[in-house]
Amino acid sequence: MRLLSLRLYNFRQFYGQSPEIRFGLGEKNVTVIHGSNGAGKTALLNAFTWVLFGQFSRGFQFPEQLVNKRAIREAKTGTTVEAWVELLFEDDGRKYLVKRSAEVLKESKDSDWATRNTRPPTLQWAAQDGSWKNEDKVSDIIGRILPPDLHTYFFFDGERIERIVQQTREEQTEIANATKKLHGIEILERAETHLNAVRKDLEKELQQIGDPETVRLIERKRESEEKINTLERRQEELHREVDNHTEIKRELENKLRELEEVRADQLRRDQLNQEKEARQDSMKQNRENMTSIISSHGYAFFLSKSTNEFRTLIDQLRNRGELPAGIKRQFVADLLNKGTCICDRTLDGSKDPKARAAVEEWMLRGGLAEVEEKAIRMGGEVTKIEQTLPETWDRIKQVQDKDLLDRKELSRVEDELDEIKQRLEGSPREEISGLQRRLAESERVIAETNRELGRIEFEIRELTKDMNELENAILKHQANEERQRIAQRRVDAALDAKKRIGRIRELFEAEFRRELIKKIRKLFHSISYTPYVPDMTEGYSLRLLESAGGTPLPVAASQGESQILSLAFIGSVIEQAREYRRKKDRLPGPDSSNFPLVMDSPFGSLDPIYRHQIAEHLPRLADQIVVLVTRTQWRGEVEQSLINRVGHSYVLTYYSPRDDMEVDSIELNGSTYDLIKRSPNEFEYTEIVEVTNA
Amino acid sequence: MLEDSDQTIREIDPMEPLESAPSEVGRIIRRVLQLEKERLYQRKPQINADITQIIKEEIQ
Repeated sequence: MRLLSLRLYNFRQFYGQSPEIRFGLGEKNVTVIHGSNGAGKTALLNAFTWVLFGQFSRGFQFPEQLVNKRAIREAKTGTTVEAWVELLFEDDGRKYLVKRSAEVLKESKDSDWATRNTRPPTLQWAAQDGSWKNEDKVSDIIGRILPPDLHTYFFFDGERIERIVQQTREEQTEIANATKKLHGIEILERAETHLNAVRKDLEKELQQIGDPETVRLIERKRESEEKINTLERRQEELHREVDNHTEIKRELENKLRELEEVRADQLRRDQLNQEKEARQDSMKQNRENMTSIISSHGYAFFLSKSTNEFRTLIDQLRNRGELPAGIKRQFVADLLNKGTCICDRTLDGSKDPKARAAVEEWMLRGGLAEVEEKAIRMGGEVTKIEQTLPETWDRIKQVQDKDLLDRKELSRVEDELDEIKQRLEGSPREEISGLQRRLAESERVIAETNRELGRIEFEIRELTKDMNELENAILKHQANEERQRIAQRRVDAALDAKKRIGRIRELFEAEFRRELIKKIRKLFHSISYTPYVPDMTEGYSLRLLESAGGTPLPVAASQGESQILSLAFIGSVIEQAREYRRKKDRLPGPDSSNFPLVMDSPFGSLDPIYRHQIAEHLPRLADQIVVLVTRTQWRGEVEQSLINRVGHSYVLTYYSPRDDMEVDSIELNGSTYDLIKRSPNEFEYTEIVEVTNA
Repeated sequence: MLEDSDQTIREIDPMEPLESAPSEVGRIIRRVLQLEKERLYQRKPQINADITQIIKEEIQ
C-alpha cells in the first residue's frame, strides 16, 4: 500500500474541508505533520485507521464524537451534519479511493454530539480508461492489501509503542497472530485446522459405507479424540487459573515493593527469581546438550566388543598369512583366460591339468584382496570411533560439571528465597506477614495447577499415541469396495496434507523466527548504545538480555530501550515481509510489499542520542513514513536527521477561543507558521496548512 | 545460548514436506493454501465445503 493523499471534512477538530495532505515517496518518503498537544495529531492518526478499518487506536478518547463540534453548533436544528475522511492510495499499480463518513442529526440546540449514523465505507478504483469503478466488497479488498488486525503496526501512537514489548498476555497473542498473518503463517495454521475438520467429515462418510472393522476403529479413534478435547478444555481452564494467580502474585509483590520496611527484601527476591529462571533455563539447555551428545555419539560406547572382535579377526588372518593377499582375483582370471602363466607354462586344462588347477587355487586366495581393502577401510572407521570416545567423555563431563554448578547455584538461590519468605512471614507487622501468606498461597495454587497441567499433558501425549496407532490401523485396514477405497484414500490424503502442512508450518515458523530475531538484533544494535541483546520467546514476547556475567539474564529495560526495541521489531517485521514477498515461489501470503508507517510522537520521551539514532533509521524502516510531532519533538537532532528526506510537511494550526492563551508558532523553511492562534469566534478547531518550499 | 541451537531444523527446507508429497497430496496442499490465502481477510471463513470439494476432485 502506498499512501497518496488524505482529505478530511468536519472530522473531529478539523472544521470544514481540509486541504489535501499528500505523502512523500522514494528518496523523499517522509511526511511531517507539526502540531501542538491537543491540535489533532492523534485524531489524524485515527483518520487513517477509521477510514481503512473503522477502528481507532487505544488512546483515542470519545470515539463516538467524530463530527466537528463547531459544524454541529453552526448547523440548523433538524438538519444532519456530516463528517468524512477520504484516503487515496495505490496498491499493485492500481489507485484506490476509500471514503468513510459519519453523521449527526441535530435534534435541538443542545442535542448531544454522539454520531448517530456511520455509513458503510465506499471504495473506488481507477480503471485504465481513467474512469472510477465502485467496489462492493470494501473490507475484503482493503483486508487483502493490509490485514485489519495489523493496523497497530502501521499506524501507532509512539508514546505507547513500548506496549509491543511490555505486553499483557492478550496483547502478546495479538502481536504474535498479527506477525504470523503478515508472513502467511496464519494461512498454514488455518489450513491445518480446516483440513482436520474436513478429514473428520470424510471419515464420517467412510463410516457410513465402511465395513464393521473400519467402523469400530474409527469409533475408538473418535472416543480418544473426544477425551483429548475434554482434557484440552481443562488445560485452558487451568492456564487461566495460573494467569489469575500470577496476576494476584504480581499485585502482592508490588504492594511489598511499596512498603519501605521490606522493599529491599522484595527487590532482592525479584532478582533471585530472575536468577532462578536463568538457572532453570540453563539446566534445560544442559539436558538438551546431553541428549544431543548421546544421540549423536553415544553408540560408540557399545561398540568396544565389536571393534575388539574385528581386530582379533584381522590379526588371525595376518597370522595365517592370508593378509595381505598380494594377488588380485582379476589378474588370476586374466591368466586363466589367456591360457598361459607368467612363467609361460600353458594353463590349458587338457594339456596340463595340474598347472591349471594350481593357478585356479589362486582364485580363492585372490578373493582376499577385497577383504584386505575392506579391512583397511573399516580399520580407519574403527580407529575413528575409538578416538571419539575420550572426546565424547570430555564433552559429557563438561555438561555434567555445568549442570552441577547450576544445581548448586539454584539450591543457593532457593535457600535465600526461602529465608526471605520466612522473614516476611514472621514479620511482626500484620500487613507484611499477611501479604506474604497470601503470596505463598498463590504460589502454592500455581505450583499445584502446574502439576495438574503436567499430568494432563502426559495423558494427552498417551492418547495422541493411541490415536496415531489407531490411525495406522485404519490406514492398513483393507477396504474392499471401490467406494470405500476412494473414501479411504480421501481420508488418508486429508490427513497426509494436514500433517505435511503442520510440518511446513513448524519449519517455516522456525526459519521465520530465526530470521526475525537476527534482524531485530541488528536493528536494535544499530540504534541503541547498550550492550543488551534482544531475545524473542516462543510466544513472540520480546525482552532484553545482558550476558556480562556469563549466563544471559533479562534486564529491566527503560522506556527508551523498550521503545527502541519496539521500533526494531516493527522495522524487522516490515523488512522480513518485504523480503518474503520477493520469494514468489514460496507459500502464498498477503500480496502487498509496500508498507507505510504513520507514527504519532515517535520520539516520545527519548533522550537526544536516541532521538537522533531513531530519526536516522526512520526513513529506512518502511517505504513511507508519516510522523506527527510537536515542536520540541521535531527541533534539533530529529530535524537535522530527517530534513533531507522530507517530501511534504504540514502544520496543524489550533484555534483557541480562550483570551488568556499564549500564541505559538514554528519556523519552517524560513517562514513562520502558527501552531496556536486566537479563534475568531467562540469555537476551538484546527486548520491544516501546507508548508511551502521557500 | 543466544545463538540458535536447532541445527536439525535449520538444515531442512521448509518446502520439503510439500516437495516430497505424493502428487495428489501436493496438489491438494497447493490448492488449499491458495484458497486459505484468498479467504484470509475473513475472520471465520466458511471454507470446509470447498476444501472437501478440492479433495474429492483430486481423488476420484
